[in-house]
Amino acid sequence: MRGFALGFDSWGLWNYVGQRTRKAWDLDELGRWRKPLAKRYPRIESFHKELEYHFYRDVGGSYTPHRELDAKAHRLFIDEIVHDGLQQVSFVVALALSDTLPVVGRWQSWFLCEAERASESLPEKIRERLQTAFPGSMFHVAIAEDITNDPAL
Amino acid sequence: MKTLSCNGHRELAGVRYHHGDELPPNILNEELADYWLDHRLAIEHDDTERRSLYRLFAPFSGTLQTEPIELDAELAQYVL
Repeated sequence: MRGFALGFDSWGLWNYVGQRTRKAWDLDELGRWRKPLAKRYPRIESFHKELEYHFYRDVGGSYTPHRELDAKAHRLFIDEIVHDGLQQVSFVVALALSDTLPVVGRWQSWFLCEAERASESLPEKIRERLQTAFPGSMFHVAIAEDITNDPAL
Repeated sequence: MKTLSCNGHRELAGVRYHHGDELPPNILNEELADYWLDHRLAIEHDDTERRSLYRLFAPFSGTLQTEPIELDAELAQYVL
């Protein structure tokens, strides 16, 4: 899903999924997984198609004029906008958390907090803040307690 | 017969070919095909490695070059 959302397809998707899972997947199988996602989320698909179009540049001179995708610039652009978006989400969540819990560490999509126990309403509170900042979007908020320092164990 | 595939993502004559897509047999003349191969813009495959779908389905692709489907297994695979 993440590979699809980031606009990977074909060998790019194969490379991305392979690197993340440390497994050589069958290219056709990945294509079969991607297809229903493209149908289910047509706006993501069309966004990436449209975006890709703007990264084609003229090459070949007058002898064999054609256009070539500047794949590096294209990927860099996507990485940057995803990074910026995650940073914004991260700031909003950090603000919501800091009202009730001391935030010890902040990574883009997860946070380390120091507390005896998180309140049950905290995920909902974070979700509300995110909905206010990014109307119409959906977020999955999960809280896990690290029990490795529990003296009872 | 050789099959040409695209190396990288390219747009030729208004059509986008993604990396690994087969190039239509008649899209580049012989001289240009050599240039593309020399400059690694395209990759050439032997017909034992990759057969041309454009030639195999010439009536549908509109190409003048044809390649027969001879093997029973292929006929069954393509439900022909």
